[in-house]
Amino acid sequence: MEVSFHKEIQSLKLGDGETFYGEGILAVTKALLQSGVAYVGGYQGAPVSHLLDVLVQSEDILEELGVHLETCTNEAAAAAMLAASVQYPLRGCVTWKSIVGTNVAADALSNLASPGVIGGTLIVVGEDYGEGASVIQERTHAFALKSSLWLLDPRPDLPKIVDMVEKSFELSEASNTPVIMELRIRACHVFGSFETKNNVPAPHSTRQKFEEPAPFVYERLAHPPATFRQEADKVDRRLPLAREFIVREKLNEFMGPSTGEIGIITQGGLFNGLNGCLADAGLSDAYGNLQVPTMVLNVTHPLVPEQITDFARGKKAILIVEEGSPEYIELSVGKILRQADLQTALHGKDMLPQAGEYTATVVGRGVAKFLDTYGVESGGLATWLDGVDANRKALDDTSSDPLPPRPPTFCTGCPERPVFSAMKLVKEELGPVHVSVDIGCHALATFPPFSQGHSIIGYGMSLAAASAVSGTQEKRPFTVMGDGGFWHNGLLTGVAGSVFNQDDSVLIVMDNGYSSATGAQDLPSSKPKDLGRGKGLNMEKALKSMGVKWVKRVNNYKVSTLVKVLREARTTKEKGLKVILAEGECQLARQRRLRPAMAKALSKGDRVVRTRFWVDEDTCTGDHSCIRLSGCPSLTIKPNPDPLRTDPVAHVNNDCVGCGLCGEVSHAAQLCPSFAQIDIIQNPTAWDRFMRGLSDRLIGLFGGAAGPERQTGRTPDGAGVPAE
Amino acid sequence: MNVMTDIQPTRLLIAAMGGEGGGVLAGWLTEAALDAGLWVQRTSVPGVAQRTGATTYYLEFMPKTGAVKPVMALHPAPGRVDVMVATELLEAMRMVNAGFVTPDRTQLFASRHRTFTVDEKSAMEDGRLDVEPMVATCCAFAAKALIRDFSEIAQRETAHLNSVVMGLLAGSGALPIPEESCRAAIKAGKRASDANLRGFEAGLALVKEAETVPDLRGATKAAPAPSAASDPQPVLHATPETEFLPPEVAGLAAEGVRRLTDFQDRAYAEQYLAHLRRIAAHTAATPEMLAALARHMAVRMSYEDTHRVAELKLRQARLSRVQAEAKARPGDIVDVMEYMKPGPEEVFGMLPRKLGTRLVAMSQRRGWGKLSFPMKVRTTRFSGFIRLRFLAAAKRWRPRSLRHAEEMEWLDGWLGHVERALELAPDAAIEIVETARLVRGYGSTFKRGLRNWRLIEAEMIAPCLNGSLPANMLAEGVLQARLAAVKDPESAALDTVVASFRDVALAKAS
Repeated sequence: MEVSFHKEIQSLKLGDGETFYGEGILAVTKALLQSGVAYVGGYQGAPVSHLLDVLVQSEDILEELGVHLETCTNEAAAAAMLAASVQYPLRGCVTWKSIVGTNVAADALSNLASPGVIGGTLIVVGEDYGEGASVIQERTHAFALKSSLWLLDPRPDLPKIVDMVEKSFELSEASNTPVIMELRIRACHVFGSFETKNNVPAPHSTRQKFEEPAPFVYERLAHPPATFRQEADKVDRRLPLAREFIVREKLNEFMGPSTGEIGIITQGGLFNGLNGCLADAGLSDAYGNLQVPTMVLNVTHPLVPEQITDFARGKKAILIVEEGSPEYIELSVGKILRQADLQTALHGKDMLPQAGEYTATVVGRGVAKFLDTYGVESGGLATWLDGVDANRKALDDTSSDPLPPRPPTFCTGCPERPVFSAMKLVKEELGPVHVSVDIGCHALATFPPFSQGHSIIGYGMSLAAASAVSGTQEKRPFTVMGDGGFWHNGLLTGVAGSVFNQDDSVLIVMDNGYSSATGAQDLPSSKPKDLGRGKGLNMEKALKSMGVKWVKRVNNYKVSTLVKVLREARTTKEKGLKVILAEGECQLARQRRLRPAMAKALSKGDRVVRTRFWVDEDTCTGDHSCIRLSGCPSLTIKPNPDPLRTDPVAHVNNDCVGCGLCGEVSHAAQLCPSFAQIDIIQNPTAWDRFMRGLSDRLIGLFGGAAGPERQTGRTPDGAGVPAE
Repeated sequence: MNVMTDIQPTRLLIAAMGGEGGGVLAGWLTEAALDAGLWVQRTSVPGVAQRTGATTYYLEFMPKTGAVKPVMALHPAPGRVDVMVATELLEAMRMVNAGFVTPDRTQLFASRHRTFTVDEKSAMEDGRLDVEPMVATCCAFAAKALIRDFSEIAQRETAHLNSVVMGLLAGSGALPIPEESCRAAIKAGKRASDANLRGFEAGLALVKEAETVPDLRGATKAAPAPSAASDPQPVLHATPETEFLPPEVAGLAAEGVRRLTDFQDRAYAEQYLAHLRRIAAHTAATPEMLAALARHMAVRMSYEDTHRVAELKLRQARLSRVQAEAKARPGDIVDVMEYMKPGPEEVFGMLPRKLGTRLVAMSQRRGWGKLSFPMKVRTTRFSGFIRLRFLAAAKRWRPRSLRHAEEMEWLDGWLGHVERALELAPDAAIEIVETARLVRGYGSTFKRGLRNWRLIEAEMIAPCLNGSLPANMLAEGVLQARLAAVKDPESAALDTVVASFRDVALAKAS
């Protein structure tokens, strides 16, 4: 980890009556400390990474409060960690990205939910759904239902989120059930404020350790026959207790008039968008003064049947605003109404779409339809939606071609790009092979200009995903995996399985030193540094000790060597798993470290060599092969200065970090002689100047242009300013 | 029940690309709004999807009228955005397309510069989108639009683009945040606050200047700097010896003569002029065709062999360009290291024809096709300089080299087709001329281009001109083939076009 969270850490130290300013996920972190949490853990993933990132650097707070912090190797480990609350009165919280993380954690979650917990247990999941999501679109709700875990979906307002975190521990303890809080992407990143309280040290913690373990109680194990009694306990005792707590503590909110012809039930997380639509319809305002009865479900599981029937009774119809599919809430409400024999009409997915994010227009259209059906004037809402349609039509009449997409790409100088350049070159030479892709930055190679990959099956699963392919293809399949995926799952699910079954395939592990896609968190193999938790576990040794004979370590930026190794991996007679450890530090992390160091050295007057690349516009013929093999953001195009040519020439802009890939690629592919490396020697030494002067004089003797201009490169601009 | 109010938030949407500082901008605006005592909410969708990809930040601001906190939206709504900021033109266009910019309310601040998408960059010819239609659409759909090259302003101030935008927003009065609060937010920023303040003041100045132009929607007309994306049109002057050509051709021809004299010598340039003179004399030769001919013949005749590359790399003009681009400070030493890797064709091509032919044949026989001569040459140092100097000087032997013989053979074939087409199918002549642009580059690119050209020649040009296929199909056929040839590097599209041309032409001929 090369980022410092000093400012964020300060806000975690706020006490009674002070005001916290920050994003949703940091507010959750503060709320945990206010709740007397004894241990925290999880696995990084957008949009919840920040929770752990900040805590990892908050050693003094953790120390003072006695909080145990675990950087878990995957979500299963994080969920398993909650076992501490099964037998001990410890409040604990873990976090991960859902749905994927919850899938990985599912085994432990089931076994945790069955015996239930004594200490309050909270799982904060980043519901990675809708715009900006990077995973498959499913709902965490299903897990809550099947395992009897309570699910909170708080209104995205910081005081409410914080309150719900605190309440979730109480709810968990009152009903002996772990609680999940789902926060959508925008809610995790929403900036707001709330009034803080003092942090609360837990009664039992790293400072106040238990002297003895809990006594042996078979009933606390998720093991038959206890499991049968636990199943009954979930529904007979824990569920009623939870419902009682929800009602007593008013976790769900009832807004607007107490009676009315129609009503709306919404997931808490969708409330703000709904309010905007109702305000347009003249049924609310910017402060949420609702004119239509609205039930805000901050707890989406379990529902409290009495609350639902009380709300529905006497109303002609209710609309359920529930994002994603299947419509679990709507199904439950239908059953509740039916059993109460209420004739209130139920709407939801008949008026709102089954799939996709509930953005403003989506909710607006559904609400308009609902209001329209029940004769309520939707006024400004209808006018707005008509305006949106009219604007759409005007746009369709104006513009013709669809705009080119701008998917994310590898960063400038990314060490993973050369691997895919090399793979493309080998593909051109030897033909295509099946490529099994994993989760991580390297999945960006599925976008142009690389456009490769046959399956993405899960984090660390790419090698396992290629196992049957390896047995049924003439050509050896290739598998790509990050070091993150390797430690998360790949080592056992993939490598052990592959060696065990003697599969004949090739695994490329991107060894960039961090879990980069999630924000450069440390991994077991990360190098120990000032900040962070890297321990430098050795992947090569791990592989060899597991019986992998063919392991090659390559420097990613040496494209020609990479090409050779890839070619050998494809063509060697040697059977079994072949692993290529593709080495190159995450460039984002590297630049974060190097830039300040370089600026410091420069200002001290030390000799610093800055390197960047350059394309010779005189020799570039504008074919752009180099771009198709690299796709680097700093390798772009510019107008052709040649009056006789019209196609734009390749051009390296000033974002170049001098990784050298473009030159290496054009070398390896024998593309063209247009790439040059420029070394700028800043604060040159006397020896540097002497050698250069000598060289210039010799060049001059042979008719070269060695003038004073050569020695003093005078340009008006200074060095670039680093990005904040 | 509370009494409803009709206060509306001011809604701001920022479209940016990951890593561009959009998050920092949104952060400054949040701080500024807090400083000004406003309610503010900000949200975003970062995550991995933002790495240099398109992303947005959404903010709402409201005046504080009491202790009750407003309920603010997390999603921007089409038709409900008051202020739209886009840090790049295509992203502005994307937001317009998504309906976030509407004539009833949206003030649009968009940078006119382009950051090309991978699709645009990787096209085999010119894949860039047209800038002007995008600017026009943006202006048409915004209530007010200020579209300038913010990036250029930022570079001029050695600041970041986001600070310029901050200045624009502060100065425009589009947001309910006073200028001083904006400045304070920038000053309180973590890093580079001097540079950011420079950018901020430049943004302020720009918006003040734009306001003096009465019609903000016509702001593009008042743009002081020439647009970076539309290529500058060089002015080429005719010389007496090219005056036999139509005026629009003469300048190009004069440039051709200059280029070929530089490439080899005056005699070589004379050959170029002789070809031009011969073809221009033909009654069917149009000025348009002659312009294309003057252009492409000069480019093809100055083919990029090893001598040429070495010579270009030693030019003084090149060195000053390098220094400017490297942003070297006074006193810095700038070194240039060339990545060169000629293959067997390029190396043996320098040898006399007979010897070269024999060596190429041998290398093919022995499978030396992959053989290459990797060189990293430091041209700013004597050891590297002298090697290239030697290669450049060796161009005096070029006319006897294998490569030259091959190039002249190609040239004669190409010109021969053009001249025959002028007789048989005059409309096809310009299309045949244009095929020359397929043959370019080095190594595999050159081979692919030549292969494509030969395919078009053998399957279309030659049979149509010798009467075995109908000549009236030639112009359209060659045009389609040339366009297909730059669709994909595997030449799949071209192969399809050529095959279907043959089928149709044969059906017609029978």
